[in-house]
Amino acid sequence: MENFKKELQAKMTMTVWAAALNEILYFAMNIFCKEKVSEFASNLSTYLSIALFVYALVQWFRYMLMIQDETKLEAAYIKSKDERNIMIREKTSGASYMISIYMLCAGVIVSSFFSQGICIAFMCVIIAMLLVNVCCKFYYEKKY
Amino acid sequence: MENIRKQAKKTLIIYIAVLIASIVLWVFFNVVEIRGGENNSSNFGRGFCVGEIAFMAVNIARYSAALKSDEKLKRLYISVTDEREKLICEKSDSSSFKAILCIIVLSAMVASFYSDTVFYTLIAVMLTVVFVKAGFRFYYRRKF
Repeated sequence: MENFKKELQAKMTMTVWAAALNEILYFAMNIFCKEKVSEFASNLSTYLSIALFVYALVQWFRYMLMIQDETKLEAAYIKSKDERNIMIREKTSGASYMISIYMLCAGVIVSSFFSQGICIAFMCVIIAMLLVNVCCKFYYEKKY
Repeated sequence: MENIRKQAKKTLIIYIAVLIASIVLWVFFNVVEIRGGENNSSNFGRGFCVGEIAFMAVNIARYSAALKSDEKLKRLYISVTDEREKLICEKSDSSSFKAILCIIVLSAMVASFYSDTVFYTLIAVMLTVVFVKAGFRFYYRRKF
């Protein structure tokens, strides 16, 4: 149980970092980029930033409550160690990751004939996905 | 061994389908001239198509060779079902999926200050990835 508590604390720290990064990025962009491309896109990105911040806050409070309340901590521990849930979570992520890569590849091919900007954006997403995956694989290869 | 053979046959059929789709797409984009397309990116798209065809051809050759020889099939089965490899793959896919979603959201926020096209593309990618994941989660919850 102590390990699980430490895991939650690490998650709390990560949540704080993610929220802070999000807000810093948003405010920095607002300060340095005065001319916005379009009002709609700008509003959407503001809502996105707020949504992310609220999500991070909710998660942080959830973890906080779990750490303080032993029964909630135990319930969360049981839920997190449930074999079925773990299997579903990992199978879902694995399959959706692969399908997303394939869909993005198809997107690159189709968009390359219509718009260079969209094609490059798709390519960047694919490269980022592969790089992150390679880093994670490297980490887990060392861990297991 | 029969189950492995069936599984390999299924995978082979998927690879052949993707290969045919890539060839059709390549031929289609070589024959049909699309208005508004940029030359550089359409050449890139064609190259990407050829890369996908080559990748699928290599996989098809590997699986057909495995289906012909029992020893190769067994080796393929071991490489595919190795518990450690599977665990590493699932863990890294799961972790990178979360990381990539965060990266896409933050990139979309930054892109909203520079380019409308890139911003909407990233939002579309994010929504697609989320829907794909939700779909798989629904499927696996029913399956297990």
